[in-house]
This record gives sequence, C-alpha cells and structure tokens, in this order.
Amino acid sequence: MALTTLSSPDSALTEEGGVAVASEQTRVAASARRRFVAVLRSPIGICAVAALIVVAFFAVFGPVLWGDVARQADLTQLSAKPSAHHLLGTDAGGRDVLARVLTATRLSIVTAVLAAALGVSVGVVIGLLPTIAPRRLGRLINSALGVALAFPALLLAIVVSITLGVGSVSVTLAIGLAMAPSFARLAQTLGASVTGRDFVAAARILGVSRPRILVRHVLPNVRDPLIVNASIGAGTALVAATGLSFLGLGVQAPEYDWGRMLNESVGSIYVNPAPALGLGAAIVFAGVTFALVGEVLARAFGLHRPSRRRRRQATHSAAASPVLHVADTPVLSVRDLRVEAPQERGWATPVRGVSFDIGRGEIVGIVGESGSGKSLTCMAVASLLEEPLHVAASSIRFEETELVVEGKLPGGQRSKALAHQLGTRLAFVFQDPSTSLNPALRVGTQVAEVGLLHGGLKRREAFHRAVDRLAAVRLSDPARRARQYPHELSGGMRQRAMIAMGLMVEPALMIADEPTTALDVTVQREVLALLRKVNREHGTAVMFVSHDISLVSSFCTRVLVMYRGAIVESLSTEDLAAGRAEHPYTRALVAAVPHMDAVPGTEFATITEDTEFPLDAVREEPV
Amino acid sequence: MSDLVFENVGIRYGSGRSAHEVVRGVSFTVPSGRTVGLVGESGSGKSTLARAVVGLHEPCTGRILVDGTDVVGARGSAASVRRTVQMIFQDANSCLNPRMSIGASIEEALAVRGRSARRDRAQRRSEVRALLEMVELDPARAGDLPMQLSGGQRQRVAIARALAAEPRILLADEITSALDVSVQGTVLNLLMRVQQRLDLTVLFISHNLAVVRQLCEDVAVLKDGELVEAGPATEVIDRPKHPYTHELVDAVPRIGTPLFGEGAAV
Repeated sequence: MALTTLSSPDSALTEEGGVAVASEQTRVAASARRRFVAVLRSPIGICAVAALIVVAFFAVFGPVLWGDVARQADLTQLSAKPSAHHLLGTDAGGRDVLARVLTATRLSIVTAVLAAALGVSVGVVIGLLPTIAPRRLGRLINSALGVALAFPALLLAIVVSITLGVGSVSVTLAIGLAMAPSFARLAQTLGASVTGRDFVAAARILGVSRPRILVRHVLPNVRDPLIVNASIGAGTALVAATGLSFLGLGVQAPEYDWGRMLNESVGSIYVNPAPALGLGAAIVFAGVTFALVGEVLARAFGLHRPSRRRRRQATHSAAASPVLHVADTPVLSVRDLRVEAPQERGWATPVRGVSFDIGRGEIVGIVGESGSGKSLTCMAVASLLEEPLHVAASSIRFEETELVVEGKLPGGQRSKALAHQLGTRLAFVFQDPSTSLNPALRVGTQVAEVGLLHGGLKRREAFHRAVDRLAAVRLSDPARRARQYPHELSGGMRQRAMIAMGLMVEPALMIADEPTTALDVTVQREVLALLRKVNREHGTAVMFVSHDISLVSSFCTRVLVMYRGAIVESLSTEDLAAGRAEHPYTRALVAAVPHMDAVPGTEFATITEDTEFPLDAVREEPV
Repeated sequence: MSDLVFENVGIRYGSGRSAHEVVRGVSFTVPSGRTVGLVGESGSGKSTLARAVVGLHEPCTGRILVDGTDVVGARGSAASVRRTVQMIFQDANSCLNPRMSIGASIEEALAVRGRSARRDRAQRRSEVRALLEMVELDPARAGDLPMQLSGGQRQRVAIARALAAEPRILLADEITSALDVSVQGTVLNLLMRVQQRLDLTVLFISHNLAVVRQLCEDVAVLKDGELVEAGPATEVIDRPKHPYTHELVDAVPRIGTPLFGEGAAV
C-alpha cells in the first residue's frame, strides 16, 4: 500500500482533489514535457545533446568538408608522424589521417544506425508475431528464436557477412540480423507482460482483431524500452561493424570506415601510434554518445528515475497536534510524526503531525482509505522508511528507547543497540505474504534468522526454535513445513509463518499492516484469531492497520481513524459500535460499509468523491 | 431476452498428468434481466467460470448457453452471440490501456460493434459522450488518460466501454474489491442503475457477501470448483443450508460484533 503511494505521486496528487478538470487534462502532457526538459537540462542530458550534435555534424558534413583532403595523396609524406600540417600524421598512401577519420564518420555511423534499426524492426516483428499468429506457428517461432539466441551474435554476423559477400551493405545486413534475436526476445518479454493484462482481454472480448490489438494495445506499451535499447544497440552495432571491417570482412577499398583504417594503422602502432589512437578516440566517442542518448531517453521516458537527493530544511509547524488518547503504560508513544515525500515541485505530506499512544497489551486498529498515510505511519514507527522520504517527529518512544534523535529518525543507519531493540521487541507482519517471504529460502530458515541475529542462538538451536514457533502458530506438521519453500504454503500459512517469525523473540509490539487483505474471509478469521492468541498469551500489543472499519471494530479494542495524513478520531470499539463516533469522516466511513441486514435492492451508501471533511481531530471528552 | 445457462461445466488447467480440474460439473442459470451473485473463496473457480463464457478459457465438458446458443468453441454466428456478453475486471489499474485516452478506449468498443457505427465519426463521438454521461463522468474528460482518473472513475470507464458493445449480459468480476469502501458504493450503484435501465442480465462475482446480498436477487456458492448452494440471495445468505456457506457467512466482519467469542478456538 505504502509503496504504491510512493511510486505514483501523481495519483496521490489526484486524491488531493481540488484540481480543475480542464487544467488536469493538460497536466500529464505538460508533466511529460517538463520531465523531458528537466532531463535535457541535467548534466547528463547536456552532455548527450552536445555529443550527439558533434557526431551528427561530422556524419553530415565530414565527407563534404574533408572528403577532398582525405583523397589527396602526398607521396612525399608516406606514413608520416603527426605534424602541424597533418595533426594525426599520414597513412601509407600519404593521405591525411585526421581528414580520413572525419570523413569516415558518415559511413561508420550510418552503418551502425541502419544495422540497429534493422535489428529492432526484424526483432519486433519476430518477437511480437507469436502473440497474433496461430498457436502452432507461434510456438515454432519461439523455438527458432531460442536457437538463434543460443548462437553467439558476432559469429552469426560473420557467417552472414561471408555469405552475403563483403561490403558495407552486407555488413549492415549481417549486424542487423545478428542483433535481431536479442531484440526479438526483449520485444517478446515486454509484449507478454502487456498481453497478460486485463485491457487486452477486454479488447479480445469486444472482438477487436488480433493485428489491431497488437498495433493499438501492445506496441504503444512496449515502445519506450525498445527505443532506449535501440539507441544503446546502435553503439554495439558500431563496435561490431568496426570489428568486422577490422577483420577485413566489412567495408572494402576504396570505401573506408574506422574499422578498415584501424586495420591499416595497427601494423605500425609502435612506430606511429597517432592514427590508431585518433581512431580509437573517434570510436569511443561515438559509442559513448549512443549510450548516453539511450540513458537520457530512458530517463525522459521515466524508465529509470535518477536518484533524487534533495536537502530539506526542517520546516516544523509549531502547532503540535493533540494526542487523542494517552495510555498509562505506553509501549509505543508517537508525537508529531511527519512524513514528507518529494514531488515534481515541492513536497507532499502524506503524514502530517500524527500523535498517539499504544498501551501494553492493547489491540489498536488504524483505519483509513488508501492514501490516508496509515501504512507510512507504521513503516515510520518501525524505522523502515528511507530516502527520498523525509521522516521527522518530536518524539517516538518505543518501550524505554527514544528513536528520534534531533528531530530525525535514524532510518537505515541505526545503531547496533537500536537494531537489537527493534529486532527483539518489535515484529512486523506485511500485507502480502507472497512477497514478504524470500522465495529462495526455506520457511524454517527464514523464521530462524531472527533467533540467529538477535536471540544469540546457534544455527541448529535457532532452527529447532523456528519449528517450535511454527507449531505455536498452529501450522500443521511444523517440522515438514519448516523445510518447505514459501510457494509450497498457502497464503494463510505464509502469514502464520510471518507471525511465527515475530514470535522467535518476545515482541512487545506487533505491527500488522493489512495482514489479511490478501486472504479469504475464513482464513482472515483464523489469522486474526492467532494474532489475538499472541496478544493474550504474550501480552504483545498489536497495531492493526486496515481499510475495513468493520473488521477493525470486530477485532480491536480501540480504533484510530486516519484521514489525509492526520488522525481525526480515536475511539473505543464499544463507542464505534454504539454509533457514538463524532467525526463526520468516521460517521461517513461507518455508513459506507455494506451491511448484512441492508434491504436488498436498495442503493449503497456512498461518500461523494469531492467531499471535504475537516482535518481537525475530535477531542475526547474527559473521562 | 438473454439468459446465461451453465450446463455441467468442467474446466481444466494444464494437460496430461499435470491437468487440474478447477471447475467440476457446475450447472446454474442466470435468468434474463436478473442479477446473480457468484461467491466463493480464491481458487474456487468463479473467475474461471466467467472467463469461459467470453472465450478466455475453454471448458472441457458441458455447455455454456447464451440465449440458447452454445458458445463453447463457437465460430461464426455463434461467436457473434458471444459478443452480447461483456466483462468488467477487478483491477482498475490494468483494465484500461494506459496509452489510450478513455474516449478512444470507448470508441474502439463502439467501432467493433457494427459497420454503421464505424462510419460516422461525429456520431461515435456523441455516443462516447452519452456513455460517459451514463456512467456519471464528465464527457469533457474523454481525452484524459487512465492515469488521470481515480480507481473508481477508471472502473466506471470500464463499465462504459463494456456498455458500448451493447451487451445483453454483463459479467462483473470482483469489480470493487480493489476499491476503497467509500468509492465502492458509487460503482455498485451505477451498476445497479445501468442494469435496471438497460434490463441487463448480470453475473456478479464477489467475495463480499454483504454486497452480494444487497445487490443480487440470486446467489450461487462455489467451493473448490463445485456448486454447493444456490437460490434467492437473502434466503441463502440469511439461512444458509450448506455448512460451507454457513462458514462464509460467519466469517464476515460486522461493525462492533466481535469476530470470535471469548476463548475462541484457533
């Protein structure tokens, strides 16, 4: 939950509401344009553009400006060393090497770009054909592709080049065809991830033809990574073409490219290194240019984001939010917790000054909708949030330990003592049990790890205890389960294993972030019963996060209601059940839950999307 | 008049020794113009059953009749009968092409419907506007990309796209389970209104019994690929006969009611 909030700042912004429809329409286009401009203005963007201009200039004007000079043979200056007249010296025919290097730019670059374009085009066709071809043909193409991939690309290029006869055209074809299989595999993988999605299924149900699905639905969604890889591929093609020409399999006299020139100059490299070095510099420069352009395109398309590290001055609002419920012996006490996330412009505040206590042995529910900041609050308390998120609080006390140092949480660089404290006294159960366990490790090994790290146990003892803990969470046949891998367990069993991991030590607090959302109702009941048992037997306090207010109220003793990053109400389950909720948002949330005793056929209660609720908390009446 | 009949339907995944039957001998009817709920836990085969109707899975046994025509492995005119069935999916993030404006997505559905609709562009535009209005979205947003919409709005676009094909039968596969409870109501109310206005036959797949009870006239309960109970929704849910249905109903959390009594067995 928290991760989706982070990775899609735009959707978080939409939820903020209040953005006019018309302006929003242009916003996405504008934001894409802004990202492109921002990337171009970054150092790497400026380098890429400058390098591209240089390469393009020589490719276009090289033969025009220096073509004649490059042809003039000065028979008095055969294989001359560099001089003021010939900056890189002359070749065996007495021709100026620098002029020839610049002139050869066009052929070398054009060969590389055309070969890459050919490779991508053929690759995309081969790679995406199986998605529209009949199943048998598709399988045949895939098998052929597998064989082609097993063949070393350069070897393939050499074979094709020899078969087609030497020359610049055959070199282009050879390298293009040699590159095709890897592009085909890329297109196939990207295509498969798109064709598995619901909108393709929807189009099929509508009766949209397969070629049309390919063109309208698949291609636009695989385009960006292919363009990026094509640009990087052009660099590879350049090196390959140069290599083939160097070996004498490529461009033939009287044509010349960098590879053929390198071949001619390498013989005298110890006598006259200048020509070879000049050529090397040209090849490296062009190759780096292609790679840079690829990187810039990737960033512009948002495929990989540059790590943004912005310094932020603490701008603390002096007005501390009220603490709605003060526990006598809190196991956790949070004061004025704020989480800020960088946006394209400025900062968003998904958690804005949250304060609460959790008493020993209490089961507290935190309820709120997606984007309300409930998961971020939990992650912040467990100091699991890191850059680029900014976490600040005036105080977070967990048992006797103050986690906040100078207004900040230690995050990744926590001290050993603190890591031990959190490792032994705090347990965290995540929402998705299929991703929170490492699929490559046995269940028992993962459960035992806590004992190894913090319990001071030997490997065998730890595993033994893990089996014991798996039995404690009522996992059938724990000794066998401990030796199984996560995929061999059902979702409910994995969630039990996660809880067992927490029970390797004696946790004072167990934070459960939507632990049953991915589970069926009957399994949900079992997992909650287990959490309750842990609470009863070990006195472990439970901080239970959920979007389902009816679930929270049927399981917890107290409920904190979160709305847009603030806790707006804290009330006991009895008050909630008796309809004594005071905050309008809490009331709306309760009203929106479908009831088992509603009149069939009536409309469902709703919260209109643009309703604004007050962010001010409802104060508890003094007891 | 369009009813949907499942006759002894069996669906198998895989082949040979690894074959696994996910749906076994399921028979029930979704009568014309009614809303039937299909409930069960994950892996019970309820989505698989719906996907078989629209041809995304092929049953190994039995028949699926749309308005009396068997659509299993249908070709030609029988396949065009299948086009009167449309499906709405669970995941509002992946149900729309992120690269296509929502107007274009709906227009595509209009275009495949028939030649007459394909010809006149202005007419298609006005139909898109009408459909957006029907699902209570501002027609001015036709040019928006899916990412500019909230989850609930995207789900409404998905409904509009399905309606563009002029279906007689709608299959709604967990269409609100990924949405917040506050948004869920608006989508369900919309579905209810559209169903009444167009007299659609709806198969409503959900694991939320409270929603099914309020929205559906009838309900069918699936367990491990087999039908265990079916009948009028209030009757089945309020007075379940099968122990499994009983277990499902008991596990539904209710506001303020403890999920288990003191000292409940784990």
